[in-house]
Amino acid sequence: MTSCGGAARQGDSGGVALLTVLGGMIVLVLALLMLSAALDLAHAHARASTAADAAALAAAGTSPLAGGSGNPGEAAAELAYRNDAQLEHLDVQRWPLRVTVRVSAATRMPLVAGLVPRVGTEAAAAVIP
Amino acid sequence: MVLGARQGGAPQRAPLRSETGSQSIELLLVLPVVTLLLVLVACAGLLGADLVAAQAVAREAARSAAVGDVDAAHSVATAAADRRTIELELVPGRPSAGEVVTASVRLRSRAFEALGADVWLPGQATMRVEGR
Repeated sequence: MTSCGGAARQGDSGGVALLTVLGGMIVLVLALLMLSAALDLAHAHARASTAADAAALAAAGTSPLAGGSGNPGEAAAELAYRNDAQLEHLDVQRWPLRVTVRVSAATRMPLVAGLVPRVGTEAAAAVIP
Repeated sequence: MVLGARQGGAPQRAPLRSETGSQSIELLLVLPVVTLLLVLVACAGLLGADLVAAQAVAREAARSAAVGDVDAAHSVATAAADRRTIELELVPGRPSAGEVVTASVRLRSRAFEALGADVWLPGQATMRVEGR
């Protein structure tokens, strides 16, 4: 075992700077987490928008006027699912044919999913005879 | 004048009396870590923006393919990528009306380009092909 041969510390003046820098690092890490959470929300919103557009267009495409099968709910749900989202609500106005869908996509970060599990958005499509 | 010389022995350095430079040394040690964290925050922002952009590119490509313009889907995706490098795959390659077409995009992010890292971000969109 070796003994400490240096002089005893005279003060802790450098400790303040170290604490300031450590505090700054913690703030930066928190900023990184917040930024990641915001980006996760933005990505979920982008996926939901894509799914909503696809679902609304698919639902409108089922209109007999557009040569479709006449089952907008099934088509909208399928397209929302294929776009990694979920159909929440479907509203069909018969004439003029206008379909409005509400779709939600799940957030992926556990930190965000605990607070905002899903992000929703709406889209509409119409058939012009 | 010789400081701290022992009687009859070799000269010895004087013991440290103050820590005046310790703050500078500590700052010098921690500064690279803080800088790295700042760079990480900036890169994370760019990476996230590119991830959302990849999704937008996939959506534009899928939409273009869904209205029956498969050939234009590539140019539409390239324009939507805003000078970023992309790889686009349409499945099926030649969809017919009523079929479902999936556009899968890989977008090369510029976030870590300066650090020499090659990061590709995925984006995918599926749409039903409209009747022609």
